[in-house]
Amino acid sequence: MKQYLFFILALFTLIGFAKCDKSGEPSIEKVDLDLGASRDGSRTDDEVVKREEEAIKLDGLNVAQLKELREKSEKFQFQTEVNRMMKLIINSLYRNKEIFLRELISNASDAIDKIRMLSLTEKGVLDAQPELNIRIKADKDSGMLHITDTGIGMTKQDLVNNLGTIAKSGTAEFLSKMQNSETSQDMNDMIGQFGVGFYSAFLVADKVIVTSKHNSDKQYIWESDSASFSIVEDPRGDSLKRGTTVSLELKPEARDFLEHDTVRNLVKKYSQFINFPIYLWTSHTETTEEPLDEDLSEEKPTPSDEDDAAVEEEKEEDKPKTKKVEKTVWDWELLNDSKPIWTRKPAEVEDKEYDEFYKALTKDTKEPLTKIHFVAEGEVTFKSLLYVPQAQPSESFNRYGTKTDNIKLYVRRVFITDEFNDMMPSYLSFIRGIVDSDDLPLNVSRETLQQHKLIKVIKKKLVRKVLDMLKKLPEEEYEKFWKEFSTNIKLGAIEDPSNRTRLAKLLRFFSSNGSGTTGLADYVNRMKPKQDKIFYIAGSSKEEVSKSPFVERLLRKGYEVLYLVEAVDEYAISAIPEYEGKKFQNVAKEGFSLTEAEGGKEQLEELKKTFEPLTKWLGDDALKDDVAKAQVSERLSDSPCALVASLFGWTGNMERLAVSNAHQKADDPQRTYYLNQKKTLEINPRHPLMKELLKRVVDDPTDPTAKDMAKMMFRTATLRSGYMLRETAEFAQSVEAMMRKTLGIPLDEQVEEEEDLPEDSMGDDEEIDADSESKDDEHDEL
Amino acid sequence: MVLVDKLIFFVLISFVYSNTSPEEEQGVKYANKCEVCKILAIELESRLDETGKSSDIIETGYSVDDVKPKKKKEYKKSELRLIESLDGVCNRILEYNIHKERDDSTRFAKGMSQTFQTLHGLVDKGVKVELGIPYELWDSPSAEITKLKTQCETLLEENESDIENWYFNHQGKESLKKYLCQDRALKNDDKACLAEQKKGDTGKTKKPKKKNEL
Repeated sequence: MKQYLFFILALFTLIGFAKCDKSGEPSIEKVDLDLGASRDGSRTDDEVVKREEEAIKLDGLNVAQLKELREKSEKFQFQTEVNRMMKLIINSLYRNKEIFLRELISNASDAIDKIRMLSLTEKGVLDAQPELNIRIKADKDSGMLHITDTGIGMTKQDLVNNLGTIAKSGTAEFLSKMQNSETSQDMNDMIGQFGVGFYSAFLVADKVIVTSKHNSDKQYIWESDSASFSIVEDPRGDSLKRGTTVSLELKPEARDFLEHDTVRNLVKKYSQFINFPIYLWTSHTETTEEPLDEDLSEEKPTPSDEDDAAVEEEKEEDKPKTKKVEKTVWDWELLNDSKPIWTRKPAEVEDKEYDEFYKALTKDTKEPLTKIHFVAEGEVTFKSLLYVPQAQPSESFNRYGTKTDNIKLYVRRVFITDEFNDMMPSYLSFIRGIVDSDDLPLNVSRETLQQHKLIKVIKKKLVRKVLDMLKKLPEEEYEKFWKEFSTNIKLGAIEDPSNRTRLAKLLRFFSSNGSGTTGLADYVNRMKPKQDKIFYIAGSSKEEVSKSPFVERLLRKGYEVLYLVEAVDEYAISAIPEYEGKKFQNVAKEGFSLTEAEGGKEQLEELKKTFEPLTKWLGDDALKDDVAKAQVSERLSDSPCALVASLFGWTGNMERLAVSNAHQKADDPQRTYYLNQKKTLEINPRHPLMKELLKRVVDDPTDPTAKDMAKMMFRTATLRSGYMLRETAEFAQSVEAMMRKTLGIPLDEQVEEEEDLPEDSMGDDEEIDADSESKDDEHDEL
Repeated sequence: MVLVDKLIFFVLISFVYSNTSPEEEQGVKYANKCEVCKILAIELESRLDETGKSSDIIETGYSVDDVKPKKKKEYKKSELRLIESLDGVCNRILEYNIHKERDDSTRFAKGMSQTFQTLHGLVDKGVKVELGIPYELWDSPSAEITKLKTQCETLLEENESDIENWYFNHQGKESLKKYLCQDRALKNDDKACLAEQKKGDTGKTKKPKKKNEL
C-alpha cells in the first residue's frame, strides 16, 4: 500500500515537471536517444524545474520521500576487506581523484558489453532498452553527477555482492599488492584490473547512490556513505528499463567535476576508446529565427544539413514575420568517437592515436614499444592490432604458462572475452592487443568459442605476424626489446618447434667479440673461413666463461665464442639444431677438432704419442675412478688440464642448473644417470706441470707425489671446468697440506689442543663467540 | 605403421662417409636429410589420411543477425586441416625406435627393435643385462630419435610453403615424397633412401653396442 502511495506521489511530481516543461524556458532535445532518457532528462533538467529549498537528492524523489525510503531500506555492512580497500584507495589516490570517472565509465562499458554478449544467445534481452550507450549528467543545483548506462544492470543480489564484497579469490592478492605498491601510479593502474574501480567514487563523493535495473529483477536503489550501505526497491518503478545509474553527491571540493568542460576533457583523456557512445547532457546558446506571431510558436526540429536550404528559403519568404531569438538548447553531446580504432585503415590512424589506444586498452602509463596493425585474409578474415609493451612485469615468469594471454577477442566488433589462453603461445603472452573477426560464430558461449577450431588458424597467423614485427624492429628498439623479453624468445625456441628457425634469428648472445650482444647471423658472417661450427660456452657469468679453460685456445686462434650466461641459454641453444647450416658446438663438450682448420696434424699425433704414458696412467691408474679417460687436449692453451663432458653428457653449467632446479622429481633415474657420468680429462701437452708429471710417471708409475698431484689437478680441473666438486673435505685437506709445505710447516705438526674450561666459569657471551667461530671454520673449508 | 615386407631386390647403395662425425665414432648415426624428408612425408600423409576422413563443413562469415553463415568451406580442403595435420606431426617420430640391426633408412621404424625385444626378453627371463644406461631409460627415445624429431621440425619450417602448395594444388595427384623430397627439399642432395624398403627379417640380431644411446 505504502509503495503504491509512493508511486502516485512520484507520478504527481512527474506531471508537475511536465507542466513546468511547457511553461518554463523552452528546451530542445536534438538527439532523441530513447523515451526513457528524454523523460529522465526532463525530470532532472534544473533549468526547467523550480526546486524547493531543500535539495533533491535523487531524480523524482524529495527529501521526505528519501527519508522514508531510508527508514524502509535494508541496511548492510561492508565486508571488512571492502572497508580496508576503500581506505587504501582513498588514501593513496587522493591526488588523483579524477580517475573515478574513468573507472565508472569503464564499468558502464563492461556492463553494456555483457548485455550485448548475452543478446547474442538470448533473444529479447535488449527488448526493454535497445539503445546501448553511456550518459553523463551534471546537476549543478543539487551538486550531483549521474552516470547512466543501458548495460546488463544488477539484481538486488548483484548489488549486495558486487558493491559490498570483493570476490574471495582476488581479495588477498589485491590487498597485498595494494599495500606493496610504491606509488599511487601503481594503485591507479591496479584498481581497474581488479574490478574495484567503483569504490574510487568515494574519492569525490560523500554519498553514492546506485540505481539499477536488471532484466530479471525490479529496480533497486543502493545507497552508501562509505561506512555502510542500504538497498531498497525503487518506488519510481522500473524507470531505467535496464541498466544502472551511479549518482554521486559530490564533496564540496570536488564540485569542479560538475563543469561540462572538465567532464568533456576527462572523457577525452581516459575514455575516448570506449566502444559505446558516451553522451553528456550539455547546453549551448543557439540563435534561431522565430516567427513573429507568438501563437504559431512551436518547437522546431533542430535544422540538419539537409533542412538548411529549406529554412533559408523560408526565411526569404517570411522575412518580416520572423525575429532572432537566443535560446539555451539542452542536448546530448557525443563525447567520443566510438568507432573502434582497429576497424580504420592503418594509414589513417596516427601514431598518437595508437599510443592512446594502447594506454586505454592496457592501463599502462608508458607508450608501447612497437605495434602492428593488420588484416589477415584467408580462411578466417580478421583484423588485429597488437602491441609490445616497453617493460615486462617482473613477476610474469612466476605465472608463466598459467596466465591467460592479453588479447581481447571481438567478433564483429562485439567484445567477447579477454580470458582466452589459446590466442598466443605462453612465450608470447606479453603481447597485448585485440583481434576482431567476422568469421567466428557469434551465437556461442565463450567456452565453445575457445575450443573453436578456427582459433588455431588465427593463432598461427598472430604468431607469425608478431615474429615478423620483431624481426623488422630497428636495431635500437630491438635492443630495448631484447633487454625485457629475451627469456621469452629463448623459451619460444624451446617450446615452439614450428617457428624455431624464425626465433633463432631473433636470438642475441654475448660473445668474445666486443662487449655487446650479437645475433647468430652476425656471428656466422664473422666466422673464420674453415670454421664449420658455432662455438659457445655456458656458465653463470660473462666473467666466468671468458676465463674458462675451454675458450683459451679458441680465442688465441681468433675464433669467436658465444657466451651463454642466462640460465635458459644452454637449453635454448640445445633446442636449435643448427643455424644456416652451421651446427652448434659447446666447447665444454667433446666433438670438435681445430686441427683440421688450423693444421698441425702431425704435431698433434706426435704429442699424443709422447704423452701416451701419462694419459694411459691417468685414465687407467691414478684417476681410474674419477674420469672416463684422459687425452691430449686441442682446446687448452694456458691451463694444465680440464674436464670435458661427453657428446651426450652434461656440462658443468647443465649440472649446476639441473641440481638447483626446484621443480623436479626426487631421485630421477635420468638425472642421476647424467650426474654420475664420468668426464674426459684433457691435458695441455704444452704446460710445464704436465711435462713434469709425464717425466715422473715415465720414471716411476707408482710415484706417490705424482698420484697426489694428479688428484689435485683433477680437482682443480673440476672446479675450473664449472663442475661441482664432490669431495670438498679431501680437497681442502690437500690444499692445506700444500700450504704447510709452502710455509715450511711440518705436515705432522698437530693443531693446538683447546683447553676445556670448567663449565661454570663459561659465560653466555663466550659460548656464542665459540659457536660463531666454529661456523667460520666450516665456511673456510668449503 | 608397419612397412610391408616385399621381396624386391635392391641394389644397395652404401653410404660412404668421407668424414666420420664425432657422433658416429660413438655409434650414433643421425638421420641424413633424405631420411628425415622420407619419414616426414610418410607421417604427414598418414596424418592427412586420418584428418581427410572428416566431411565437416567449416562455416564462416557470420554477421550479427544472420542465422546462417555466409561462407562455407569443406574441412577436407581447408587450411585448418593442414594446420591441424602439421601440428605435432613431428612428435609422431617419438613413436619410432632405432633398429640398429638395419643400416639404411629403414632403421628408423615404429615398434621395438629386434635388439631391444631380445634384450627385454632376456631381462624377463631373469638375465642380468648391463647396457651402461639405467633400465628405466632403455625405452626412452634415443639420441637419433630425438634428433630426428628436431630435424623433422626444421625441415617442416623451412619447406612450409612447398608443403602448403602441395596441399592446396597437388594433393592426391602427386605423392608428397616425390613433390617435397625428390623434387624440392633434396634437389641437390642424396635421394637414395627414398627407394629403400624394409627387407625381410635377417633373423639375426647383432650384438647390442654397449654405447650410451642418449
